[in-house]
Amino acid sequence: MKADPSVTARPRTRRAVSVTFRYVLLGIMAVIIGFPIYITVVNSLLSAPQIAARPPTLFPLHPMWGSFATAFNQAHLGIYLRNSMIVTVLIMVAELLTSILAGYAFACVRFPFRRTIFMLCIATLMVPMEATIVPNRQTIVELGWFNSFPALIVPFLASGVGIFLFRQAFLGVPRDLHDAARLDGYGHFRFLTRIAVPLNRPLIGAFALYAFLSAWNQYLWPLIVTETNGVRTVQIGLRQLQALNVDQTNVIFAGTLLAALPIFVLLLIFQRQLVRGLTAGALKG
Amino acid sequence: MAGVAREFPDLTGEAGEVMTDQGKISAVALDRVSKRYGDVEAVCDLTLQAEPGELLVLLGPSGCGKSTVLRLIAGLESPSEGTVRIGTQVVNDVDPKDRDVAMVFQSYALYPHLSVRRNIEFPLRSRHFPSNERGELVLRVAKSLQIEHLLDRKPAQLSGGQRQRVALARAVVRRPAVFLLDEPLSNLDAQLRIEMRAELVEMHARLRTTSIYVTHDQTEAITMGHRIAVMHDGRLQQVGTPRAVYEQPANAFVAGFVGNPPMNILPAHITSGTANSGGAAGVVSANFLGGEIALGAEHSVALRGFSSDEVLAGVRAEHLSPDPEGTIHATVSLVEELGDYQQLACRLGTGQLVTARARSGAGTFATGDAIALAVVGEVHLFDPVTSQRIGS
Repeated sequence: MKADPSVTARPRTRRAVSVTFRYVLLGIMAVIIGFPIYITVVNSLLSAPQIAARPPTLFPLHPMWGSFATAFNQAHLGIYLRNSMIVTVLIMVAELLTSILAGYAFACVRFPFRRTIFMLCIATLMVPMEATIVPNRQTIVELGWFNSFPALIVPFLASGVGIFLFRQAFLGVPRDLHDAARLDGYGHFRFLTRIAVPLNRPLIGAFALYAFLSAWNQYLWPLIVTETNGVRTVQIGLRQLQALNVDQTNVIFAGTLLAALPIFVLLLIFQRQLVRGLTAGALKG
Repeated sequence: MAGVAREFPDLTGEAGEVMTDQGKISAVALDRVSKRYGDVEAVCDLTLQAEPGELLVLLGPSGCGKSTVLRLIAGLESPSEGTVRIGTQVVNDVDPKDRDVAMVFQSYALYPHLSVRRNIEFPLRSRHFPSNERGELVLRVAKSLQIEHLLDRKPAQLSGGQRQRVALARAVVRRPAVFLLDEPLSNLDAQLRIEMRAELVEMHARLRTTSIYVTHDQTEAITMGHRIAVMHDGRLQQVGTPRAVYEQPANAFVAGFVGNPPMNILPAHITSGTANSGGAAGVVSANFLGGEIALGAEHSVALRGFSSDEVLAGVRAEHLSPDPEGTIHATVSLVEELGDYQQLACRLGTGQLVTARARSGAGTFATGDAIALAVVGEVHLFDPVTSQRIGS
């Protein structure tokens, strides 16, 4: 018996319409998200009067690259970028280490008051940074760390979010794997490093990126615990750039791009890890 | 009965350990072992021994404590009381890795991020075997389990049966003194389970390693085990050869659990032949399933010390057959054609369901038929209070 062509054609058409609709929607969203970035790039390549001109220029026919050099040299962005990189990398590595170790301990090691201590860790997520910022600054001053790298790094060596995420991930590692490894002489540390961590690589990638972004984008805390250019980070540098170059908006745009560059690079490298990490729970078979 | 008792090599050494060309083979003995989790007693006062080279099956329903016993032997749990001995050594305080046991898990417990090769050599790496020896051993065991073509795959790329083989290979590769298998076939489909069952028995015959095999599947237990230890509620109910457990169940639980279909166990009233009931000594009769049946003379002796006339009587399906002269009247509820016999689920007048068997040639039966049944074999008697077997 021959199939009625209209019967098969109809669902196919419907599917095509649905796919087209989805792509159009995704396209519109991409434009909404991408347009400010595009404008930033364009404006960094124009002169200040060109930026102020109306209608705005959307395609720089004669790009001016000098604004990047101005931002980098005049506004000390180079130093700020270096400082940010030191602070961010150290925070990221430390947060990863402490989150993995504490998360594993809360998930797989039995010790007294385990639940209570874990709840205390989680409770830190409920307290907004604004509520602790003044006493924390006071502590930093009392420790003699004001205007130093430890002031920027030490308060962020551990993360409640990280501990929670890794605890949940390690709870998901089947108990049989742990038992099998124990029979082969693997203690907690070897099980963690050889089995549990490799099994959660996507989460580690995603969390590393998250920790990097959070640390890189910090503004308020570095502002109140530093006072000299030698230790200040790039977000403060950007603010100074804005204050110093009110008439040179192209330099501000160029500085913004320079400050965002490491994040772009990192996103490009870890894109797959990030997506896998975010969807790991949903897709695990 | 689905299987027969097989002989296992008599390797019993005085020290509970035997050296063979395959390596060391150890006995495993649990002496008055209990395991409690808070108020819950998972294993209660268990005394059990697996002889060197034996394949001992721990059989019982889910939650009966059989997997806990395996974990106690492996060292993954510590006993609350009692001693666990492997070979000559009491291992209560010995680390799992130093007990020289290998375990196959129900979930296979393969490391998903490692290739099959790395999974199999994992126990060797952790024991610092030299690289060339590792490669050789992995290849040899992979060949024996026909998985050498899968060595570079990841577990996710394997079928259930292949994963099972890899898990076995990982356990076998370093020739442990004792194998512990925790329901290793329960995740496989029926056909594959039968094949793997045969392969496991063959592998055991080849390696002769003392093996303790946990299952809730009584067919698996009967067909594979040299001996079966039946557990219920954390307690050992009976241990013996499959035939002994099947033919002489120690209590009503074992009678109902071992055998397919389960034994028909229903209340009976002793009407004559005992001190209480009067009648001629040596001839015991009972009212069973609404009809009068004669019990064997051996019951007369067994019932002599028994104070009540009320007992539980058990009859296997193959010992209950349609017979026009039969005294038990029932209606056929379901007919299963099983080759050379029909299995009949019959509803009694009292509403109870019993299973009977009709050999081919005994007539054709259909749902709704009114039939008479007769007991054509042994009747097992159990104490209705303690459920224990009356007599031998």
